[in-house]
Amino acid sequence: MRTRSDLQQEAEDYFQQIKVDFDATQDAYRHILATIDTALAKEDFSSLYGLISYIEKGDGHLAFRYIGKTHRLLRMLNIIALEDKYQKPLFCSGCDNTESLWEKYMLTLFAFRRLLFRLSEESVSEAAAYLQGHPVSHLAAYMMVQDELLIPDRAFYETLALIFAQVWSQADIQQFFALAFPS
Amino acid sequence: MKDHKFAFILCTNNTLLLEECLHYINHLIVPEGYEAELLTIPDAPCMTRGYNEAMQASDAKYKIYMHQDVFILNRNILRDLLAIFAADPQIGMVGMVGYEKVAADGIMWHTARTGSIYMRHPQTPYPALSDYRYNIADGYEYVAEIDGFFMATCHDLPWDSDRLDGWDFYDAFQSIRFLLQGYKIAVPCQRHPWCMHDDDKLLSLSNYDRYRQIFLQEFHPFLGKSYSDILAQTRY
Repeated sequence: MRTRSDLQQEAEDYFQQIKVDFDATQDAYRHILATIDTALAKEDFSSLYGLISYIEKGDGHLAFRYIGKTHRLLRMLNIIALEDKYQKPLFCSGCDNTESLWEKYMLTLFAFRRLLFRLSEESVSEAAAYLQGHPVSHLAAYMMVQDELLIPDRAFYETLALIFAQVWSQADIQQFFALAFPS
Repeated sequence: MKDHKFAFILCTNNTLLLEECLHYINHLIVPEGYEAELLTIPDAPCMTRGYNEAMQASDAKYKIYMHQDVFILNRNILRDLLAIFAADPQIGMVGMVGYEKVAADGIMWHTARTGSIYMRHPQTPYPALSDYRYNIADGYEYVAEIDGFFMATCHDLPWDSDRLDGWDFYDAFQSIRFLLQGYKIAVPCQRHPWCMHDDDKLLSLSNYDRYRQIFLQEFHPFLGKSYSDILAQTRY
């Protein structure tokens, strides 16, 4: 059993480690943002994908450990890499810097949640209209729903498939459901 | 002071989050005979000064201090808060997540948690939000501290802007201050969580320890103590 002094010592050690890591964390985070900015401006996607290993295995892990926003940035990078691999429209299309990429991601997420929580008919229809005007791939939708703070049910996946029916192929829809409900 | 009025008070620095937060606030059902106002403090120098400014500017009896990244899911939350405040006139503050004891190291989430917040993998599945209704018989618990993402009060008590000039520990300080004034702090039992807190999961911890040290020094006699131990004290 941990005593009160054990707890206090653990906390002291933890915060001491944060101080030790502080500068390197800030450097890593700045590097991530600058790389995304440059890559999006130049449409140099290979350098975007390079950031994945930088965050997961390289110096960028400090940003991942201490700066929450890094988790979502990594998710976006993984989405884009997967879309590229399967030759789908990239989530980052139309985004020329980190800020616009972040905004697109958050607005998409907010729309998903509005669909799920159904606060009012107007709220739901606004969300659906936003998503139809700013479509994302089935891979992006799947990864966001899987990893973000929302609890989807089958009806929610069906709603997304309906909203994106004009832009997702039949194969996309089949894969979307296969990923969401593996047999 | 208007007894039939709520004020939502938010320090803001992010339009994207604020607009979404307001979308949920705008969907709340305001109890009949009550009114609600919104006070946002853009780019406040610190949380306590922002909150003090808004507190002084509002004549609402019920003030809800909340983060811009909190989305209120329970559309009847105002009615439910009134029921809790009415259940025990000694209740001065209500939170969504709380802690029965003050942690020995000052870090509130190092002690047992009560209440609820929307989680991806809840221990017990939530009832459908559209079907959920809180009843005062569902209960509430008294705590020593509540998490600052949502703090509803029915008494105005200044926030400690002398000691806290940042964004951390204002919730722990204010909780102890309420208890030391003789008020209880309650956290409702929620079968479906009343709020979602989209806070990126990690804190900005760079300044956290500085305020933690101030907290440890200021409230040293209460470390490890429960709300009832602290309530028993009239001075510190």
